[in-house]
Amino acid sequence: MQPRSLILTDLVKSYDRRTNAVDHIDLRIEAGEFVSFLGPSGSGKTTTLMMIAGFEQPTAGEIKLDGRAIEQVPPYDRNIGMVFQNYALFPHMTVRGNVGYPLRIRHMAKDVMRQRVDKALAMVGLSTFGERYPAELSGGQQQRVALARALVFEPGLILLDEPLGALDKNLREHMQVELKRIHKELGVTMIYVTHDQTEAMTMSDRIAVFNAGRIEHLGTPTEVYFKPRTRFVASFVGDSNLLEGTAGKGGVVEIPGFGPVATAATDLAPGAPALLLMRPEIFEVVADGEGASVTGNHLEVADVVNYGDSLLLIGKAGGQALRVRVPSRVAAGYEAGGRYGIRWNPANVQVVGG
Amino acid sequence: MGSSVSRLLRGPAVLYLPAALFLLVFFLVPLFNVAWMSFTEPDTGVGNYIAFFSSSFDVGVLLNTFKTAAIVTLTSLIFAYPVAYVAARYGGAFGSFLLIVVTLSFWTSFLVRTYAWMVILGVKGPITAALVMLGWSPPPQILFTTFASTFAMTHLLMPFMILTLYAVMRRIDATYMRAAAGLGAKPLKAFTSIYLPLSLPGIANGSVLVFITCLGFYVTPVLLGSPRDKMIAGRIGDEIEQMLNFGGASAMAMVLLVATLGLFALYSRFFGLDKLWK
Repeated sequence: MQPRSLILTDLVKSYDRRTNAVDHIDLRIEAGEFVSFLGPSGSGKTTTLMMIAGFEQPTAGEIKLDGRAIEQVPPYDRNIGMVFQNYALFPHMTVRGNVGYPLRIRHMAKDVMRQRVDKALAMVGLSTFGERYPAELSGGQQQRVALARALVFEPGLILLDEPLGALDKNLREHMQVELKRIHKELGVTMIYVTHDQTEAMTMSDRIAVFNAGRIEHLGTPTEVYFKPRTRFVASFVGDSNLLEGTAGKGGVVEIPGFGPVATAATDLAPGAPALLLMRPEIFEVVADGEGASVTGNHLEVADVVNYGDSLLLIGKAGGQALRVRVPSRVAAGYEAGGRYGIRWNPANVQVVGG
Repeated sequence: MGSSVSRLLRGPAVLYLPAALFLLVFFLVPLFNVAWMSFTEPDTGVGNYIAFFSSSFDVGVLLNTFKTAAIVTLTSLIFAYPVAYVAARYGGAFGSFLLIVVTLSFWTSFLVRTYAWMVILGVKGPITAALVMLGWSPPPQILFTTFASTFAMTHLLMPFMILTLYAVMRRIDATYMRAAAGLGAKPLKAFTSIYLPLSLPGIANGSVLVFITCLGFYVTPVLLGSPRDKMIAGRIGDEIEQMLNFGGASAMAMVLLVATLGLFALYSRFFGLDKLWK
């Protein structure tokens, strides 16, 4: 399967001629990449996907597949694999019938077709399910059939529209691993639409964070998580504490009530407003007297949420709302109403947009 | 015994009672009466059936009835399918408008609509006038022809076909057609390989409904059709009104009933498709 590259240039989609559902998007996806479109519903990610697939016509802009403009090409000639949110398996065809459908359309020889279908079914682990009808399969199995059908004709680019949304958590995590394996094995380009940031984080080479029809940040999961470009990205991806303050000298930002916070930033103009991102997991809780906190900040805990593997302490420090995540320990004994010293490594504090 | 009856009367079965009683008195008893008469009037035996099947005229009428029903079913399917398709797939204001038109005609009585066709197709009707204006002189006879009655019956039964098709088509997910296009199927191919098979249960249901209703048509062929192509219901009417031959008429009714039931059995044997696809 020859992976394909995709370039979106100044892409616009407007349904009412006043507001843009997709608002001037530029995006370059290299051949063989796994890119996630991450964003809340209505952010334009699915509309963008539908324009790539050919089910929506762009209002303006250009879509280039392997360097060739395809806006005027109908979907049946684009040769792009697509997995729909509800799978869209044809209910009157068996699993083999469904997976073989794109090959039959292409008038492939019977024996080549059988081999290809066998191979695709083996790839998704459904070799023995060929004669079943979609209604006789579980949600996870249907999802695999949809995937096999999307890759059996070797399209080079596969679009996935929230394909795991309907599955339960364990199955979803299992399918994430499977999808990554298939992506590696085939070397195909994949675009994956999701509103689940964990999914996007764990699977993607790069993430495009959508908000209000624009891509607010395009970067690797690490970049998007630790160096978000905008306030929206910082708050949408992962759990976050966003603190507003004023820049001082040497990268120090003064947060009202909380005190001065040292950052790694070097280009802050003194006196300018600055937005700090402090992820809940960068904090360490220390007992008073035990080295104490660098800044002398204390967290007054209002609520403790137990996630099993971690505890989320929700409270206030120096008048600022703060969420602190600590590993679960049987003996920790954090309680609502408690007051604990906190410290952190300044290297982990990010200036948003800096 | 008394206690089991009273338990039955308190259970949900009691809810069936009014309908069961009604059907017993007004359907089963008269039906049984007709069957009885076909074997006893005027003499006991199968004489009425022998008379029916040895009359080439009567058998011809029966065959013509089935032929007409088949033609009406086919034509109404051909006309109804696109209407139901547009209403189900594109919906919106136009789809609703289509359905309202269909439902309005569905609510109008067969008799009223039949008379309407008499006016439209008549010698002084707009169609004939239009043909004369276009220079077709003398204008062709339209009313009292096979064409007129077939045409009118198609119109009368089309709402059944459209609504039955629509009910099935509305449940066909629009993403199936997108998926087919994404997999490389051109629109016509996507239609024949995906949409048409998925709408088959609607085609089967609608066809049986129209066919069986058409078999029993009486008024329309009598009022609009040619006297030569009589249908069996009209023939039964003649037998009673003009010959007062209740036994013979009952036998014809029974033949029609058995033929219809046989057809229905065939249908449910071969077209239990809707169960297969949820």
